[in-house]
Amino acid sequence: MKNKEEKERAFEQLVERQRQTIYSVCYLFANERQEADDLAQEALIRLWQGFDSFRGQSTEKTWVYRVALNTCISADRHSRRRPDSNPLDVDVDLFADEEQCPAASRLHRRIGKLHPFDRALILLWLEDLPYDEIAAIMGISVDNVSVRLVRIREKLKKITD
Amino acid sequence: MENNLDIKQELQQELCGLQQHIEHHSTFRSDVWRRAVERHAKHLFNRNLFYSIVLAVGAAFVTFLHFAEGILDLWLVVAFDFLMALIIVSGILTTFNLIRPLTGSRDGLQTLRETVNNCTDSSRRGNRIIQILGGILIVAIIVYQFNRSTFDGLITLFSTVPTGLLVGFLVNKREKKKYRELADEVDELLKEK
Repeated sequence: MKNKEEKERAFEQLVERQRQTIYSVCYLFANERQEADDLAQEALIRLWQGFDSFRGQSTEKTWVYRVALNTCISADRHSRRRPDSNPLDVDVDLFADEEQCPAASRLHRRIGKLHPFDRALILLWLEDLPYDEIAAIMGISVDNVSVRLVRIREKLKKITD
Repeated sequence: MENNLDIKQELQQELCGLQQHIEHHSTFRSDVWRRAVERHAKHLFNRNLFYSIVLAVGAAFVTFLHFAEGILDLWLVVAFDFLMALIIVSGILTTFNLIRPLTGSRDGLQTLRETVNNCTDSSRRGNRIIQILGGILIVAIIVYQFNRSTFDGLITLFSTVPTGLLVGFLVNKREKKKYRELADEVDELLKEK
């Protein structure tokens, strides 16, 4: 029983440390607050399910990214079967109050126009992860990462212009 | 190249702004994740319960077709019923495995979790019992078929035994993996101490 409680505490601490990563990924993949809450809940469930198998081979942040991104990418397929979600405690609705965080809104507008898979790639690129790690997370080759990133950057430039 | 760096820096600043905003304006309550898992488990449990009822009704209907109408062969009915039972048990165990590690469950799930703990502790033995019963059933079906005709017996033998062995192999593999992970975890805890 003690081990289980320790495990739960360790998981709570992990969630606390990585909450910006979880919620920012969910925010960037959602179109409204409810959807972001749903995605965050799904990501928490998957993180908990995979917590036992996390052996620290990658950094904690990379693992959280991997799980959260995979959750968001495959969310469409499971959206119909998802139960009601618990709202997360975020004081400001990032979708409603653009003035509160203009950087978030700008990023959402620019990245939101990309395909979900490209959105995931660009997020990992922005985190300055090496290409081989991005390739491992996304399940594609290193060459493919670099080719895709060139194309995405071109798209982003056009969006910005 | 410079353009690439510009756009990367711009986006990184925006991402940083977003993450800082979330950091300052959010409080991740410790019970949020637990409630999420509980709700998910409840959802899974209800879904599995629904499927179990549907499968049980299906199995009963097939059994009825044999005994009342004599439409289907007995071995087919037994095999179908056995398969349905296996799916029902496996669905329930999947749900149990999800909520098993939770110690802080509340409400109605508290009782369920206690039941689950007992169930999963004996799930290994349960799996063995299922395998043994499955084996006995398969042998009974084969004997029954041989009694009808050698051809039927041979067909049944070559179709059921490899399937049974494959299912047994897959179940054992999954089980061994689970126990190996658990052993690794214990080793790590021992190292920490």
